[in-house]
Amino acid sequence: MAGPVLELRNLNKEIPRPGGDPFIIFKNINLTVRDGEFVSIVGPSGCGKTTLLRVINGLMPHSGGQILIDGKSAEEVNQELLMGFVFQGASLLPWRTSLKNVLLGVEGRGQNAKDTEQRARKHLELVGLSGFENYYPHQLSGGMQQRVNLARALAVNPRILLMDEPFAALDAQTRNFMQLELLRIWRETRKTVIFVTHMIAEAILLSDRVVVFTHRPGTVRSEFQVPLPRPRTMDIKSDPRFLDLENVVWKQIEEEVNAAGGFAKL
Amino acid sequence: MFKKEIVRGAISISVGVVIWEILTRLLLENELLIPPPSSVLRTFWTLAASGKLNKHFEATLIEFAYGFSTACTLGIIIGYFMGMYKWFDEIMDPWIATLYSIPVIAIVPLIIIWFGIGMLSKIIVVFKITVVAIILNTAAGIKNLDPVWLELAQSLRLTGWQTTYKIRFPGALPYIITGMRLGVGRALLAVVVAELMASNAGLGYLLRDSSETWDSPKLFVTVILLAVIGLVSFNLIKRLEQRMAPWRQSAEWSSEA
Amino acid sequence: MEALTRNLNSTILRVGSVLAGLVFWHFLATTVINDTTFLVSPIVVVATGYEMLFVNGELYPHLFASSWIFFYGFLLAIVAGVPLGFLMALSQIVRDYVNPWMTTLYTTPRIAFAPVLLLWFGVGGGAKVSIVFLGCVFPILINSYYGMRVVNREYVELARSFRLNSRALFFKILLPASVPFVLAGVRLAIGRGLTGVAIAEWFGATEGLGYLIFFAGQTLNIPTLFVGVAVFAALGIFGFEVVRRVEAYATPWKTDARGS
Repeated sequence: MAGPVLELRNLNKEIPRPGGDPFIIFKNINLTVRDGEFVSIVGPSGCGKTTLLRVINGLMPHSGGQILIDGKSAEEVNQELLMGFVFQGASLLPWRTSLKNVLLGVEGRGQNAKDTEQRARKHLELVGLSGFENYYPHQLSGGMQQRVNLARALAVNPRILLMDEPFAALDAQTRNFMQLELLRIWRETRKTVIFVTHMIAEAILLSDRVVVFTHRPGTVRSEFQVPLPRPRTMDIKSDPRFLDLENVVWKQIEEEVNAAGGFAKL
Repeated sequence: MFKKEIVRGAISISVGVVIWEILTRLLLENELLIPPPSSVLRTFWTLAASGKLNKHFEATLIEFAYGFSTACTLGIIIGYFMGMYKWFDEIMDPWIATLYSIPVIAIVPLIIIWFGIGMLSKIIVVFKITVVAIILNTAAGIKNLDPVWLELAQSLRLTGWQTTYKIRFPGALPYIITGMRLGVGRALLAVVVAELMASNAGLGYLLRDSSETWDSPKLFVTVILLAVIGLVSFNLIKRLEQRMAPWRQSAEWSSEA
Repeated sequence: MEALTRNLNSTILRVGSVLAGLVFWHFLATTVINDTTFLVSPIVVVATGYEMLFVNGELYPHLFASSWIFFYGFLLAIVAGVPLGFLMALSQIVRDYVNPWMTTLYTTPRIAFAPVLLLWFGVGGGAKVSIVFLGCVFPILINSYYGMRVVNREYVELARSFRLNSRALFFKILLPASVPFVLAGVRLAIGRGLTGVAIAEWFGATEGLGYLIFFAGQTLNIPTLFVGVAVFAALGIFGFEVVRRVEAYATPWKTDARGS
């Protein structure tokens, strides 16, 4: 794989308002993501990072610019299942068991039913949930639900994994465990990941690169390579390089928030 | 500028009426089966001008008003005590469950035997139909109060009476109104049923009278009038519910009516 | 132990309440009123019920006649109501054109239609079935419509993110998400359908539970009247319980099956 997996060129998104200027959510986004790279996007609330993920996945149209996936325009490959999306909330279907939820993206695509089921089971095992195949979502804890969510996105063998604040709703302890689990799963699968979060420490811990967004209309303010070796553990959070980077990113976000009118407006 | 759905709704209704008029004029020789809208309108006018319609309408309205207001008063009181005291709830529950599971139409003959064919029996019917929903909803509202509110009342050293009218009653109000709304639709049905079975006045009486004398235009006038009353009262209560309990999102209209 | 005492207390209160009520009723009937064309003792009602069920079997023809009408009207309401409700949820145009008619029909006290339907169909089965149908169809239709309308937007986005086609979207997301609402509608329809049976049979019938009750009312046969009312109530409870079981079976992911 010589070229980048994903390339955004001058990407814009605006929503027309009746009788007024359009509402600009983000503009002029330029971003290149290498194969197997883990990129996090952080920024103040309402900077359009979640919308960007939806636009990349084709859930919403963009208003200008280009999205290239493996060098081909996203419109061209829109019908192909190239991306897995991990939603923020537990978007598990309550009437399907864990296994059936993981099957949602892979079943009925012309492959042997036994093989697809085998694949779903394998991915449940990957996220540490073997034995829970026949549980309904309401029987699982929040952390387990997000594991199923992750398994479902991975099971389609996506080129890119899009994650929209997947651990935001979890309690702090569970979140820490899930971050470690994600590090392990990423090591095993080597997927290209775009991870949206508002937690700076989470972004640094997980990523190869952290992209900071400006306040609305959002655009890329700066990018940082994370200078920390892998495999990482929680201990890395006390590494001076980690703390330095966290500080720099925090300063930038603080500036953005102030520029947008201060914390009280959030 | 009207909204698209209103325009479409108006088109749908007017086209329906026009088709009805044309079909009845072209296809049917007599007006017995389906009278054309024009003759329904004419009959409506005659009935209204003679004061007959007014008289029947008033009778139904009075029966409804008495029955409903009694049901509200007693229902809220009984429901309040059922919500407050477990033992009272236990004593009342089997009777209310029984009352609830009897279709009103089945009990109407009995009520007529006991209370005669006059207004009293209709008032009782309206009462029976509306009171259960109000009792159950009031009790549920009192029971489901957020315990934090009661702790708040305690921390502010409110007296029992203050707690009731400052915390419990407003807290339960959305439930109570829902109970009233559930009652109203069914009460209209019930009062018409009772009038239909035995009475000398009211819209139900008009319905039976026109049906027995094969007076189709009059029958249709009554049916359409009942439709309009149902529609208006339904929307009125929906508005009332939104106004009196705006902190609670309006319950969807799929509930039993 | 404490919980046990509380349960016991609850049972005692309930049974006591019912017994006290029955005793009061008995004495009211036998000593205060003492007029069998007005009120009879619960003992007489039970005896009459026993006789009609097990001795002369008088109840069965009425029960069958009513069940038949109920069954057809109810089935028709499901067959027509569910697809139309779904169609209204999926198509704005269908919704806008059908809505005014539906709201009007729904809010009209449905007994008003009974004489009209009798006028059209005569006193045969057609009129009765259509009265039951009119009673049942709206809760089913409205709940089907509502259930499909309020499907979580996230589920729909999820389907799109997995590039499901519209067929899969319908069968894997929209349909299962609507099932609890449809069943809640079916549950509401039972009570309304039974009322419809009674209305239909009152207007023109020679058999059926509704006929039994009204005939008993006209002839001041209080024991039979009470038996008829009790059978109606029992049917309502039975139907409710059947649907509750179906709900528990069809929607195992719902810990508490509650409708609207």
